[in-house]
Amino acid sequence: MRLGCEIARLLVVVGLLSVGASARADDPTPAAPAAPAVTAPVPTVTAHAEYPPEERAAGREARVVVLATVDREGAVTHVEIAQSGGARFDAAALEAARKWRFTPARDANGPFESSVTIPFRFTLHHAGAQAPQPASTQPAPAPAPAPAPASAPKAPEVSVSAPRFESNVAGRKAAQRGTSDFTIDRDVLNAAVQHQSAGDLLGTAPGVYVARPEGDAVAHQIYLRGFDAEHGQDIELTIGAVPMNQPSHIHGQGYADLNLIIPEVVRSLRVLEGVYDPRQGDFAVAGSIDFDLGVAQRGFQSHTSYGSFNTVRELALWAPRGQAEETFAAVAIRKSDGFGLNRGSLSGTLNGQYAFTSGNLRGLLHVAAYGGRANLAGVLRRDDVEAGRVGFYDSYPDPTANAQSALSIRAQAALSLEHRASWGARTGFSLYAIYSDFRWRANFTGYLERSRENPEWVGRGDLMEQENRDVSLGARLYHRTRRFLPFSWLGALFEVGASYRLSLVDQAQNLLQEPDNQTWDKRVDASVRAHDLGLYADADLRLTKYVRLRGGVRADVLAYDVDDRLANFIPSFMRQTYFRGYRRTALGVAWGPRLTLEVEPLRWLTLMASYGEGYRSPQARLLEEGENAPFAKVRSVEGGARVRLFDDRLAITAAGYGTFLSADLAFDPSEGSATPIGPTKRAGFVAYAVARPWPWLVGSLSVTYVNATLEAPPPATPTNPAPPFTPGQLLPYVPPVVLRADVGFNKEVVKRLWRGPLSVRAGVGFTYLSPRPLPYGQSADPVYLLDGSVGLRWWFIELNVEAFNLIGQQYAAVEYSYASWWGTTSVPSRVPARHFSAGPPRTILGTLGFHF
Amino acid sequence: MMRAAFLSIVIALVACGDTGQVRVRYPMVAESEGASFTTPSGWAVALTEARLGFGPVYFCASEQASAELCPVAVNELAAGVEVDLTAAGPQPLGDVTGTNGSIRSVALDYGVTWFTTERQPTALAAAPDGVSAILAGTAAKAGRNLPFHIRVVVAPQFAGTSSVAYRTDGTISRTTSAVTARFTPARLFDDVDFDALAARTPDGATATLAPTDPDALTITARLQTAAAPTFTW
Repeated sequence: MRLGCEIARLLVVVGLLSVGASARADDPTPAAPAAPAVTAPVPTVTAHAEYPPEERAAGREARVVVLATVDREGAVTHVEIAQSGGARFDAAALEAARKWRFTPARDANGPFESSVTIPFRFTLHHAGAQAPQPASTQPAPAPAPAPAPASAPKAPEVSVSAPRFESNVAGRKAAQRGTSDFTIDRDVLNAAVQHQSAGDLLGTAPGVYVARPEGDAVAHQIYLRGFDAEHGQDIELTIGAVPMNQPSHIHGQGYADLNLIIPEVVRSLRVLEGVYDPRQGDFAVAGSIDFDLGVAQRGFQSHTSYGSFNTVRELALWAPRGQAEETFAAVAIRKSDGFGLNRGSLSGTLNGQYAFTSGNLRGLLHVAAYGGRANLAGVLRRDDVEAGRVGFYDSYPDPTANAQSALSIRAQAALSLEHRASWGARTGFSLYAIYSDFRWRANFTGYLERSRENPEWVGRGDLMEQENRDVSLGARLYHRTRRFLPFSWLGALFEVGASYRLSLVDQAQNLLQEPDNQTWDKRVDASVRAHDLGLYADADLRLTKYVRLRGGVRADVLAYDVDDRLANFIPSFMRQTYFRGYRRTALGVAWGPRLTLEVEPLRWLTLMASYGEGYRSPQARLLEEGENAPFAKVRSVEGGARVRLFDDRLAITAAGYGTFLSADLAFDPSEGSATPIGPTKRAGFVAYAVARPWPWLVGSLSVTYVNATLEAPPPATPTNPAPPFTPGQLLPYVPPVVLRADVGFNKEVVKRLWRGPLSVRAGVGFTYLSPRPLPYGQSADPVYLLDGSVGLRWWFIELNVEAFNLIGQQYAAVEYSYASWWGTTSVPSRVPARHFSAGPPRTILGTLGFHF
Repeated sequence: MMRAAFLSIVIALVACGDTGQVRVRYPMVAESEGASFTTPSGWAVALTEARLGFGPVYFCASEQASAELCPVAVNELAAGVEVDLTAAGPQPLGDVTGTNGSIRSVALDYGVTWFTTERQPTALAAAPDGVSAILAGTAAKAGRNLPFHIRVVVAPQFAGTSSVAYRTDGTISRTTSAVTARFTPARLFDDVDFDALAARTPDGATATLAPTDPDALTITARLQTAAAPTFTW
């Protein structure tokens, strides 16, 4: 229908711009203006559609538009009806379209999958009249009209023509699930700077702020729309079929280490803020972020970086020509002395994928591995820094402070298969396996802890050691139907899916005395077997060309088997009458609807309203025997608008949202992990704009505001008589305002300088974080960060200079408020004080790259 | 102008709501109720020297200010100071810091502390001559004048604990302006047996008591109970 054509035209513009911009970001040697960057598919084999006998007998005519997917070999792998002419006409057109063959679409990197629209016109005309001639705007063959029966001169003749077709560059964007459903392409991700880690890429998404308070071997700390998601507790992070979040991780529920991902292989990010898609599973409380991996620039690349603090990074990236963007292999090694004391790090990462097709079967094999170790400077008291007792970038001159470190290892493999039936249905299946090992040592509180095993042991240093070993196996399958058209004004598409994940977790937490690495208290020694079975059903209904309703329901069954070997503690003054340990099981079901209503009254305006209910699985060790509701429930609502102007060169999104969470978590320095703080409420708005006024210029701006409050924090208890929170207060650690702006320039300035073209790139990015509330009436300082980069690309040589924190601001990557004592004063303080982990100072990195 | 407008909007937005607690800071002063008094056994005591080590002081929200039940203090005087119990007027001791809230108990030391990192109790610099208190004066009864000089030590029993913890009540708000620690020197001597002390001290000699002397230990016990200071906000 006309809407399909509008979408097709939109896809052409957006797709060409995206491909062009992406190509320019990764390969600053675009073709000369006279030569198109992208060539459309060209039909090489066509096929006639048979006029349905019943329709001919009834004298009916119709026009059917078929949307066909053309793979890299030029075969038609999928057909569906874009404009229906009736069931019989549709079937005839689909059968014919499946037989067409094309020269595939191509860009500078080779052939790629695309989609075309093929209109079929079924017309009846009497013998003697001229058969309609195809009006062709593209070099398309017109099938010959069917011959009229010779015995009936007045019988109507039929003709079926495909006068023209429109070629599209199919985007990779999934159906929108809410106003704040953003796909951030590579040109925007790297507009300002070439990010050094995949976690840092998240900072370009609206409302997201990312910090690294615990060094290079610990997961990023992520803030999203009023959520301090710690290391992933409130955000579902995935690489396609592979979940990144680890359930019941001792350092933080939903811990997700994005150091596994090499940023150069990230093709785009899909950020869905809110929980409106039935496919979103565990940890999708604030939303979901999916890393789409792919390398547009084919060939071999080598990048060597050197810069501040003796930082060295080497990247080798191979993307075989003629293969899909999803096929690549990349290795990165990074070493740094770190800024300030005790921050050295060393890491190695491998990412590899292989995409393959076999008839209607598509597959993707994914492997990734990461190993990293870093020293940690830990936190400092603000009053110690202000009094000059320790420097801003220092670490306490103390054996326990100098012994802080982290080691992280993760390896994963996944196989995804999808069968695309000729009638439009899709069936997919994925398998994955993950292994991770985590060991972390840090001291937040100095010398306050007392041994629980032996109370006489005290003051040996609060160096906390956490260990978490996790093996996860999972599978996912789904079936999506073809689009049904029961009426001309109603189109429907359905999907059902299931997922299962088994996690085997062993974890421990001890207190260590340095420098002899002696264990002087045991706090945790447990094993967890966690099962998560998810089921969902989803529908995509198109009601006229203006209205679309997407949504469904999801249910997850969560089961836990916990062996807590240190529970049922026996105090030293009691006679032992039983063995320590407490094994328990728990099971619960979390379910909820997810709906999005989309109205497109104008071609350039889309209005959306969404509602969804999600959940977060619990920290298994906190469960009681037989607990049957072991998760935090979230209710999310959003309404907003998307505007596309100037031929989609400017896209603006604005939305208001509200989120209600039944059981929130906040970091407790004495535990070294997050602890429950009760229900919370958030309300705010987000505005996001992306402009691509010219192919060589891209800019984005996002502003997010949130009013996040604590509804019913834990009351005072004998063991916690002075809780840090009061009802109705602003939620600690959450910045009310987050602003991010990125501008990138990438243009060929000399068409041919001796052996090749010369391109110049530059970018600048700005981040603002408003003052964040802290517990006990404190407030963190605002954060202003300016990043910038310049670069040249000549022939196969590339040179870039990146600058982070260009203005050299002394800022805190994270701030806390709690009591500690490091012996820097003659008398310890028990009143909570501000502590912080320093963010990096001005950092300059130069990168020399070669492209073959 | 645009920047001012932007900042105004940002400031207005981030100012919506509060963090739930306020930081407070106010002075603590000491007052002593007289250096001359009569003990229950009829001895008239006149103190010529009464130096008391005092602090640190931790005000807690729990009803029991033990180390386990008061890991976080509502307010505190994180310092050691010397109080002159013979002084007539108020003596400034330093600033109390913390947050608003309810105070239900206090844990304090008398100049001798045992922090978690220490192997044994240690006197702070403010402790008079390295002990908790030095009390000197004259006790008189029935024509007998008995000069005395007593050194008192009040020390925590375990590392990481305070010497004394007891109930006290106070409500702290942003308008709290000061707290008074009131000492009653007379209560220190309620259990001192001056009769026995006079009997074993030659006339004209000064009864000098070490911290381990039974009569000095009674003062130690009183400092941990009835003679502990009271606090008024």
